[in-house]
Amino acid sequence: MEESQQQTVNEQPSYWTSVGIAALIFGILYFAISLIGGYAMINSEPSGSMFGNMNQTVSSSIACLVGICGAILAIWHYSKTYGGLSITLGKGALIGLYVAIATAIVVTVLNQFWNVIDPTYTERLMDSMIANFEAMEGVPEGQKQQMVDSIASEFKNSNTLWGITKGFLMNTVILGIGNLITGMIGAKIFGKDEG
Amino acid sequence: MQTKQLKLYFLVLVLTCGIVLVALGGGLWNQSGFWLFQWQHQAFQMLCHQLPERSFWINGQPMAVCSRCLGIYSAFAIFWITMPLWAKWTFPNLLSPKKLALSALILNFIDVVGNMLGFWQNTLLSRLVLGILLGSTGALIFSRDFFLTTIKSKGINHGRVTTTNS
Repeated sequence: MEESQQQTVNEQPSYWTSVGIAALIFGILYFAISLIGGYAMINSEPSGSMFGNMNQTVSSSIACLVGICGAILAIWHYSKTYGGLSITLGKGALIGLYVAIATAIVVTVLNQFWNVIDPTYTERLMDSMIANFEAMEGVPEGQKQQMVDSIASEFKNSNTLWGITKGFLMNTVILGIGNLITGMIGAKIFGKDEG
Repeated sequence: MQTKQLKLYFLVLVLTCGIVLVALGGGLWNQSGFWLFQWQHQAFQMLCHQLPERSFWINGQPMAVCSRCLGIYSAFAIFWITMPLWAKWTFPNLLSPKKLALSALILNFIDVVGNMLGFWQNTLLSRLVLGILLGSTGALIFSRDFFLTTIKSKGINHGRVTTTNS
């Protein structure tokens, strides 16, 4: 009897729903922004600038730091759903880490899904990037050729199993650290202080 | 000075220092190969736009993050490392760390939008400074969470009710 009472006190509601919602929202948001930027680059004339035209620059600027906001949303949702809940810094960090992993999964899956919907997307993006590099002025021909070769080999590798796994792991690690910290910030802002 | 949650403190310390080192990019280590596809750049591709014209360069290669992100990460790391030194700071209610961090966030947002709409042109340095503001105030939020300083009683509140139940 006493044991079960203790268990009830220690039990806290599950945070997986909040993690899932935040990862879905930010995964889709990140994917959409990068897709818009990609198509803006494909459909623009080669500008000779590293990443294409202004539209792409604008969408890239919006995408900046979007990836680490997921943890804050998850903690806000968690604390709002179960009002008055105390969220420790450690728990905030853990929720942030889970959000990062889930977000990286969502983005990886959506990227692969888009390759099925538009199989020419990666190739067209690569061609557009190469065209931009070729239009660059003031870069020696040898260096330009080296850059173009790098782009071609990198895009070729990006769709292999190893390329996808490598991308996923790198995204997870950096997103994980970022969201771990924003998760702690979220816990400080939205969690009830334990004193 | 009393400490608590030291494991978490050191974990974040190691991770933030690691993130700053990676953010400096391949130029720091004179890495060969096209910088756009160096692992440091690929690692940050989901967190930063990495536009070379908005980044600082080392040894002819742009850093893996823009100047604003560099400011955020480096200031956060520096304030985190030096946390034991300023844990005893007391902030007036009007300038609480949370309010300071929110103000810095709003300031950065205004700067980004104003620049996009063409109201002004921000620079590498202005973005770095605003990033430093955000990173440092972000670390300040945790000023009372890992190191506790004991405040000597001056006896002026002896016998008085100093807290109320709200």
